Amino acid sequence: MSKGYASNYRIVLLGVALFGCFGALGGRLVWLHVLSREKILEDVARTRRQEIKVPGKRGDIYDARGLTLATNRSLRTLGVDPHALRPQDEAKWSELARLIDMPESELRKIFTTKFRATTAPSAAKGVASPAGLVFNLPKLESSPQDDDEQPSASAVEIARGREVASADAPTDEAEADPAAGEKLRRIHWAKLRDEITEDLYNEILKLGIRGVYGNVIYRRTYPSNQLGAHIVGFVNKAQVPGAGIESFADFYLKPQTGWRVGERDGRNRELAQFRTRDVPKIDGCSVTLSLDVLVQDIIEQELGAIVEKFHPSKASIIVSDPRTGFILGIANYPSFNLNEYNKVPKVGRYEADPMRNAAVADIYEPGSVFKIVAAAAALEERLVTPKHVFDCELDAIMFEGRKVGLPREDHRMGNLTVSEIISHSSNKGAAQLAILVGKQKYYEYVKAFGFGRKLGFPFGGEENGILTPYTSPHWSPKDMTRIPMGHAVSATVLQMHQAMSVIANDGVLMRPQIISQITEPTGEIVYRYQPQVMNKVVSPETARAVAKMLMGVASEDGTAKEAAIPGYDVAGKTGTTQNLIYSYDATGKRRAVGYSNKSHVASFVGFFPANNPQVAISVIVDEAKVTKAPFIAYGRIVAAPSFKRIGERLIPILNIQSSNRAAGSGNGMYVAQQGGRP
Amino acid sequence: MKKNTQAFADPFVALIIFSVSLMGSMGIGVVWMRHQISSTAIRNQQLVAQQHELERLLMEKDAEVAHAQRHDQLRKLNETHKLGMVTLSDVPVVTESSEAAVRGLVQRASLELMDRAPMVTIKIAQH
Repeated sequence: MSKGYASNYRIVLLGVALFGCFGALGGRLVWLHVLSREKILEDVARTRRQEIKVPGKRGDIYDARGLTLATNRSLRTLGVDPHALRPQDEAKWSELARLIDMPESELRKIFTTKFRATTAPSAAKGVASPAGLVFNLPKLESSPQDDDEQPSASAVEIARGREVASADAPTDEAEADPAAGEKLRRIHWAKLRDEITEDLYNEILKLGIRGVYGNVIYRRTYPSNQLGAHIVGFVNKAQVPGAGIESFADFYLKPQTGWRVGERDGRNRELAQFRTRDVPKIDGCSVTLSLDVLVQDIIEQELGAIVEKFHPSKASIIVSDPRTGFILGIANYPSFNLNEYNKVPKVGRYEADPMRNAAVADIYEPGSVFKIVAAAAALEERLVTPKHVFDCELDAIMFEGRKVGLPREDHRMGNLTVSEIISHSSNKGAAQLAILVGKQKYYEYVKAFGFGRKLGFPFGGEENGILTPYTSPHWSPKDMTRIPMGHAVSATVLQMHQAMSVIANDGVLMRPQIISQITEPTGEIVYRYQPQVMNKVVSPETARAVAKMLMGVASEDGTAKEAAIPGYDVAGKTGTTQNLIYSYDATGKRRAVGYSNKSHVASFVGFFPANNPQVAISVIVDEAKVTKAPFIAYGRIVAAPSFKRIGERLIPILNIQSSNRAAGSGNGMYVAQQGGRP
Repeated sequence: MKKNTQAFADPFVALIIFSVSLMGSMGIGVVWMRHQISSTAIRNQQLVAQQHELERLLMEKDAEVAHAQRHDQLRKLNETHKLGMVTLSDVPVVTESSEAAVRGLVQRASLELMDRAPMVTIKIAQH
């Protein structure tokens, strides 16, 4: 036997040792994988499982020229992990307090508070399913921006090259405090300040205080502040749309939050290789409006001038393309700054609310502008021609076998043709025209012009207006003499504007629209809005005949020569309505008791060029204070000059061509029709 | 049966060594592969994070640009820096149809020519 081989005894010993080791290993594996499997899986799922929300970007809102009206910006919510603070950084705390504008004592208190007492059982928080893959989808649907009030690192941290967006990630750990005998939680994140800008955050980072960091949050921002406030609307801090396009088009603007499920390491970093689900975010679509920022700026400047000069309680201006119904600008006074929507003061029940889109949500008696309905109806029914003469000095007229008093005039009118009834704004004449048409037909025409019903403006709480049907018991024969002059009927500014647009658009009522298209983030057009015809009201011939009559209003002999734009034929109508006087009962509820002789609604609604209308403008001013004679806020004094100023400023911006060439003064700059502006 | 004592190595031992080497290589290969997968996933994650950050900064800049283009802000700057820029509407613009404009230009050009041209008398023949 060779001496070079080991004894069998030693080999057996070695084999037994090896077998023992493997046996122990196997036993441990059985223990881990079979006997303790459920408990261990539960621990793993709780400590390593991670759900990350990836917020999408809310779509932008653009004007017709592609300028941004609403977009997003990222801000930081600054917080601190008190356990990560180093003693050597304490000298920098005062500088940090100064930067974030917080008293140093308060900052020190936050920095030194490392535990929080809790009464809730620790097991209640974040117990994951044993399987580890049962998703809490309703939680994921909530916007990540909602978490900013929570002291957790739940927002997305992208700046550091990581995303720590787990809403379920435990930020506190329960610990037993031996001294107090109660449960304490470790504070891993305490908020220091909201909405820190990128520049300030960079300054804070330069301090190099370990444990102080910011979570990215996205906020809506409105670059133009108050411009088009009632159209654009706003989104609050909880990302809930409050009004305007933001609310109406929320379905398109709203992004879809992406999410992924995976595991994290001991430092809360995502282990990208262990992702089990990955649903990408989808950014919101952008919405392009027909609103033109340049037009909007002009009318808001004009509103400012009106407010400065006449101190009205409220005022509205609308500019639109009458051929399509697309709104180019809507401005109201009072208004508000979209970036400070939360600072708008609350107003009384009957006071002008800055946040209300008064042009569509408030009603007023349109006054003489309403006379276009009676004239158009009588012409369309072939009952009169523009040259028919009416006695406008009558005090009463027979209607349905009864003598009905005609409304008063401001001054003696005498015999007037239909054209003159419009250009001189005769109340008696308008009443006679309506009576000639008949109550049923006249009511149908008023309805067809868009009064007494919603026009389908998509948001802003559009009102129907008040139009009493002739079949109603509340209707009286006197209404037939008052409605034609714009009394005993109420309309929104938008309704009156659209009614005038009917005349400008060859007798067709268009639906007022504000959105022109919706675009995917990739640039693909989802939907393009087209002009929508609501109904045909009168024939093009009648519309042109009424337009011709309305040209007389802004002529030298008309009631509003102040609205005339040199070189352009202006068609329009003034309106001056007495405001109602109210009495208030003990509960604060009001009741109309009569008409005021001092308070008026002044308006001018028109379009130009009269024979090729390209723009319709409405200016309505409520309770203007006129400090010079005649001390009454007539439409020609308050509203007509604004119409003219707006019109003149719109000419170069909208490249409005005139077919009336009497204007060439020789001092102007000549622009060729097809050559564009110089 | 006589054992071959001339063999280079015991075939059984050689098989064991080969098997262990192969399995070891496979194991190391799997570990290397998994490491590569992890590294790639982490690198990918970092790149996505960088992309998000760049998108965020772009968005931030876009918002700043939009704020800077605010009309009242531009007017204020115009006044502050005394740039003397006027709004478009302050320029007296009279629009002309292309036909009239062309006619006007031709007339103006022709006028100069006519001024320099000698007088011409046109006589119409009479029968």
